[in-house]
Amino acid sequence: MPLVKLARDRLLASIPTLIAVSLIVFFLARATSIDPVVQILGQTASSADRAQLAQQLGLNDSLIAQYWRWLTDAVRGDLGESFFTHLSVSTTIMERLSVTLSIVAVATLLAVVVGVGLGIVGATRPGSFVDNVLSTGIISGLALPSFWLAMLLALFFGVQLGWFPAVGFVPIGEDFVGWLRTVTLPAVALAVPAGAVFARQMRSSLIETLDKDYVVTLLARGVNPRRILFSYAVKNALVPLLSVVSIQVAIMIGASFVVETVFGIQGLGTYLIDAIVKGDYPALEGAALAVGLVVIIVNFVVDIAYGVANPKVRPQ
Amino acid sequence: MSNPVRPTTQAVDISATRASAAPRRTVHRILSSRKAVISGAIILGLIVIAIAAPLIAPYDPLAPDPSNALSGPTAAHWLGTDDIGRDTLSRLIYGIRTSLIASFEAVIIAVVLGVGLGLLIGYASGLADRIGMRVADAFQALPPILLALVLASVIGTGLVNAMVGVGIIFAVSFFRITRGEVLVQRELLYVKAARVGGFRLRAILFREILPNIAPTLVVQGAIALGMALLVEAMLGFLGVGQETTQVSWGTMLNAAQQYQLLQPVMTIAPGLAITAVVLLFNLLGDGINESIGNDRNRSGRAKAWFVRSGAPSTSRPPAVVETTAASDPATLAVSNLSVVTGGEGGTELVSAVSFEVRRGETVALVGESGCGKSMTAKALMGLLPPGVAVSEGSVRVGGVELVGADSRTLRDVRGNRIGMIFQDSISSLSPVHTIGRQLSDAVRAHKRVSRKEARRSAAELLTLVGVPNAEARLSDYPHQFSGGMAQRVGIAAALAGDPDVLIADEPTTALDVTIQARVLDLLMELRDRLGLAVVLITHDLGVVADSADRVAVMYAGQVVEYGEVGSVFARPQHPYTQALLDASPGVGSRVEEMATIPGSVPPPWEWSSGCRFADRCAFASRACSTAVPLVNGVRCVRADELQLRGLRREGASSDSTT
Repeated sequence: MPLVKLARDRLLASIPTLIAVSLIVFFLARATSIDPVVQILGQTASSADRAQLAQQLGLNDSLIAQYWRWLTDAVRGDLGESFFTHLSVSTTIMERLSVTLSIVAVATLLAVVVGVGLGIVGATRPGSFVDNVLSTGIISGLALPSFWLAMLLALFFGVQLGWFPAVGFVPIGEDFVGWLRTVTLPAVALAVPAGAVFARQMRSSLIETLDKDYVVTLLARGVNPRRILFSYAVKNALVPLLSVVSIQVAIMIGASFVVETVFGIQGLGTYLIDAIVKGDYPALEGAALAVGLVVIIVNFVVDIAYGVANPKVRPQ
Repeated sequence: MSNPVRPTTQAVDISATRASAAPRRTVHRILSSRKAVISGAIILGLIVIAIAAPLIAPYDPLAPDPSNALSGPTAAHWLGTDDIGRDTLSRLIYGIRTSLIASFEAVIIAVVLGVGLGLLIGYASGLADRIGMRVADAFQALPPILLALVLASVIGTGLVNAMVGVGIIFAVSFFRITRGEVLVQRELLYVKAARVGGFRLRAILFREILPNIAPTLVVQGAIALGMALLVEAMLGFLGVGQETTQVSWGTMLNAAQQYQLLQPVMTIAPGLAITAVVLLFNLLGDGINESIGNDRNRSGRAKAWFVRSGAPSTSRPPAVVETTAASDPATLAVSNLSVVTGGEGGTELVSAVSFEVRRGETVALVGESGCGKSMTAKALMGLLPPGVAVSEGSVRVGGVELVGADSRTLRDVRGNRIGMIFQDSISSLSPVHTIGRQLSDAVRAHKRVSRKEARRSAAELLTLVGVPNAEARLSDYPHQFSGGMAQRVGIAAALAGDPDVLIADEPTTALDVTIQARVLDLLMELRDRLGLAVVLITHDLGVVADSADRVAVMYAGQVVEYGEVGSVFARPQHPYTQALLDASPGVGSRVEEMATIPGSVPPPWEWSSGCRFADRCAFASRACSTAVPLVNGVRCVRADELQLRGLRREGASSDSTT
């Protein structure tokens, strides 16, 4: 039951954040310097035509009224339609988001598994040759721009070796093997810097954990050191890693926008950038809101996982 | 892409920083960090190159030369040329300008904005604070690159504008750091304010905060520089903030994309440059962080236990001692045990300690902190920290020599033949595992039983140590136990392997006075019921008087007096024993005369070759400067001539434990 209460508390707490996200997204989009009316009709259109189109698009109402209309529609799942393609924004976002999220999900999995593994290796032999090599690799990984790594991966594994396609994307629903082949390189490009963050965090928190009193106590009880390491210390050290994971997911979603352009993948990134350039308000607002919602959901899941991992934060 | 700018990961523990607030010392320490100085120096070098770019760059970075387009590295163009024949090296050098301007611009905006808002909102608190935090949360729910793209479009194109946007985004983490510190200082000041009276609260508040967060800001700022550079590169790559007159590494990569196959140098060079500069900023941040004492990665207690196995825990092969009658498993015989740190010829922490405990007996080790009591206990278990080792002597349990034993033997001995109880009962339990799990693992460390059986044993153990409702409490976590109950759990776990010897290292020190006696009674009852040999480490002489058979008084790593509790307390022969008795509130029964021992225990490297207590001893004479052996249980050259005052009556101790 405490977990249910925790879930309810966290859920309630994320509502104001979501409202703040919607405000930021809407008003920032409207503050952009690009006028969609000019974009659609061109510079030469008459002012009467422009006024008529602005009226049609609902841009003449007060911003507050437009925000309220957008928000109430959004709550019902309707994000309006694109000023340019007239396609439903919700439908397009679902398609594009599934592409981006599948890349980010694979990247997260890779980064966590490899990062945690390397962190354990380093933490159990601090100061050793292996640890020094790993630490050097990790701090270099932190500095790698993921889109540049993506370019190198595409060039080497895509073009030179031909192991993976250098461009394009196959949705997971269409062909699993094809999806796996197209998702690998972008996911690796995202996973390297994020994995470096996880490895670094894991290493330092595991070293700290191994210094705790209960580790000595477990040794004094004759418990096998491997068991102490893997079932006690690692579990304790993973708790602080959780919040780092949620931060990195947000960052990976952003980095994915850029990596997608390298691989010519039609994800949320290209949709967003296109919307910004053209002043396609519904598309921009919808896509940004969707990203905010995804991150808030990830944070929520992490909070619950935190409650599962750390009994102290569960409400009594 | 990593984002250490956001708090949590590499975020510096503000409370840890506080101690190092003295600015001059901080600067000095940063300058003594090789990592910080070298990376800082290279960054300064880059700044010089950026300023002197027109003098250094071999070509005009914007001048096209179509006849030389897409050239590889040649003598004329060291890094080749791009698609319209511009020199890559020159563009790279000019790119440093753009990168550094962009990074510093964003970070300066972030710091000014973030710290300013943090001070204001932290000070205002209430509704403003709640709204501020929600907005901060919302900003962090949106990826930095998304916000940067939108803000770039809001503020207007051009790199300078785009980086204003990045500065606003990065301000969020500086806002959080500052606000957190304001809240901490408020708390402190509200307590102080009552005394200060009408003093200007606001002035103090702001004066206190900036020096406290300065080191954190510097570290986070250095890392934010790297982050800003990465965002700048992404924006350039995406074509946002592109200006024809400015050369940026990101835009170079954008151009390279179409010609990757024809001229890979175009792709490789700018990417390496970005990575290198971000790395420099990160190293600078790391170096500063380590030098101000926030590095938690430098520790090595784990090393010895989890990687190597089978390494002997002594620097010398075990001395062969003739077997005495001590074959009863419940006999612990310690003879001549010395512990050193720093290897052969290092500093001695424990010097030639000897004592013996048999079944049903309790031997107490007493003395002030820093006398080597706990170090002796750890040596018995083979649990000395890395760098510390037994240099001499013997520890035998039921005839088995532990000094020099391999890790396999030690593991069998721990828990199975010797159990140990620690001072801090709660922190001796893993916070994220149930009591049942921890007890079962202790049981299963020595008995091949199923999980279910182990759990049943765990419940029996809990009942044995008097935890009510044992079965149900197995699913509870340590934080749900009181200190006294947690110590009972600790005792249960120590008994899980049916040990013959129990070492209790200050088992009641951390507990409420009312609970102490009960836990101690439990220990004594278990000793009698299970026939344990108990080594009790304590500084509470009342406890010793109540429960121990013999006492070893330790001072500065040595046993200075050893004997039956009754006679030692009634007629102490060593001045230190008398001083301890005088300083004990309950035992001496003369509370109004309660004395403290002047001075303090010297650190190991200052231990003299003569009597180590001489400096603090009221009876010291010239004879005390030569080495003193332990004769008839006392280590004092003047033992025979001194008339020391003991306890008037033994029963007087009872008030300290009830």
